[in-house]
Amino acid sequence: MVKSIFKRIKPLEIIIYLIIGLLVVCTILPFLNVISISLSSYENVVSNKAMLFPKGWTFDAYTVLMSKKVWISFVWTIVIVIASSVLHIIVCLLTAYPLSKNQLPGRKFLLLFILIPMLFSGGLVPYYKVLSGLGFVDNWMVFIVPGLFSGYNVILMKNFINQIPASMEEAARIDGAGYFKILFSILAPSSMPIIATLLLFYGVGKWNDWFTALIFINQKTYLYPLQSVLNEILTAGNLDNISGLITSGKVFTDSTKMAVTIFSIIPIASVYPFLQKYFVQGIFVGSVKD
Amino acid sequence: MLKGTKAKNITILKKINKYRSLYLMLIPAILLLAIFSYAPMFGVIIGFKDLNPRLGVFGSPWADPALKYFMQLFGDSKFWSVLWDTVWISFLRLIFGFPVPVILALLYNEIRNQKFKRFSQTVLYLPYFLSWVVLAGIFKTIFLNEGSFNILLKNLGLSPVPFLTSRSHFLPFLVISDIWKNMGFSSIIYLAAISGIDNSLYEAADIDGAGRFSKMRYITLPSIAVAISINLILQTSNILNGGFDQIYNLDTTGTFYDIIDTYLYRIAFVEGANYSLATALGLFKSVVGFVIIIITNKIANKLGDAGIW
Repeated sequence: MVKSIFKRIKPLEIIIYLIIGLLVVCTILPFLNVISISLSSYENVVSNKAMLFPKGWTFDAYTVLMSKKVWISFVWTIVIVIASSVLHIIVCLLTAYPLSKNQLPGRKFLLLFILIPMLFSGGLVPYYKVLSGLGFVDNWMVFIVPGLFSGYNVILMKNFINQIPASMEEAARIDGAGYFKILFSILAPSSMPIIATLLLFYGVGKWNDWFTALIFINQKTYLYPLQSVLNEILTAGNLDNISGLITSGKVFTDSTKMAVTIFSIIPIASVYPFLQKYFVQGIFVGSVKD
Repeated sequence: MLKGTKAKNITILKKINKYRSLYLMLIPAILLLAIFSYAPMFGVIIGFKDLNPRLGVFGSPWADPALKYFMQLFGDSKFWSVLWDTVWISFLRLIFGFPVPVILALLYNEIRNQKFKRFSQTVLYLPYFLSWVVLAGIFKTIFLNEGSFNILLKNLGLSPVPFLTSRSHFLPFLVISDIWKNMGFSSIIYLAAISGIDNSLYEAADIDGAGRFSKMRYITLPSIAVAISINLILQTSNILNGGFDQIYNLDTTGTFYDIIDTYLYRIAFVEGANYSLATALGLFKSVVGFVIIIITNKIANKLGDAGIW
């Protein structure tokens, strides 16, 4: 009996479980601490009594979420994420499909045209100069238009389309379908794993983007996405920058900072576990070199 | 002969006509690339000009001498310390961070319990999806001198550690927090490679009486060697990226480590808008990155077909 248990669980396995378990704990602890701080009363936070579990439960810190500035940036960020992700997927599909056709004249040249910017860029200042010349400074479109194309994502998409059986497309051709129809009514639905993957990563990238606002938004701070407002709140020592954020007299305690932080994490943390099996599959297929 | 070329031209035109809707599809990509990738590439001439905002990029006079801003850059000891810091941080990340996801994937491969595997992966992926703005906020709450972690140390009778407020502690903190953020997610690519291994190899090894370690050593590792080398190439070509997001958000003083990107951002957008000098610095970075990726890819191809292209 004892022998059979030892046979099933080998010492090596125990060590592996311990190592991974330890890493899991190291990842969870900071978040527990943060949640606990956001839900604890001021006195308990200051005296550090709320390490892992909230003490003196209160939702006071979360009233910061009622401020107009946080809400506007939240809604605006959702608009950015949805609009730019959908457009990005359309651009990816439109680019990847022609490139997946070996017989297309000029395909090699087009691939090179896409590859070069993946290896070399003009750098931040020329990029800024081009965009400011086009009027993207303090313009809402800067969050959506300039980053629509990604060579990496197009290549992932192309690899995925390549492994869809050609017979599906041929059957549609015989029925008289054009290339656009084939792409959007046959290939796109069959590419859902890679589309879900790219949607997730592109969407998360947009959700997390604060750099665009740092560089391109100077005056119209009402265009700040959530991350920029979060950054203001987290680094705010002076409340002048954030006038209108909350009613005067309130200070940004660690609790309010962590409340906004958690607010900004929740959407991602509740989405990605459900998409996990898609993106793992997408990366498994997309990483195949061809 | 003239007739021949004409006929050839006609067949090409016919072909293009046949695929015209495919070409139509490529228009958005070509426009986006031309405007947002290729136009900035031509914009590097700013580094060779005395940029005058009123005259614009094309109207501004050429710098005299043409390499004025490059000479200014390379003649400045600040540049060399920035370059050194950038390379040093990237190097430490590579040395300590690169093996972690490989090891993690190998460990995962030995785990039979699917529930534990899925749960722990979900947890370890999480930090990858969060921005450095968020993570820096969290880390500052925990690791600043009055943060939870130092209070814990105090309660245990240990002296607090200035993780974020001393330059010497900041560097290991950068490296470790970067590993912490990315390790789980980076292991996916190796797990993908492992899942592609033909099971009959392991069965054959079983028959030969191979243990877990020898299977790992002689089957798993060689099978994922290509994935490892591709990732190594990608990371090596990133050597001049010290991680702007992380340092900008974590450095409470803004002075501990200047990497190329933070320095460039400062001279272009914070201190005096020296666009020409910043462009020269950006061009230096792009060229070095380009050369490194070409060289490493060539080496990888020589070692076996492990290059990216």
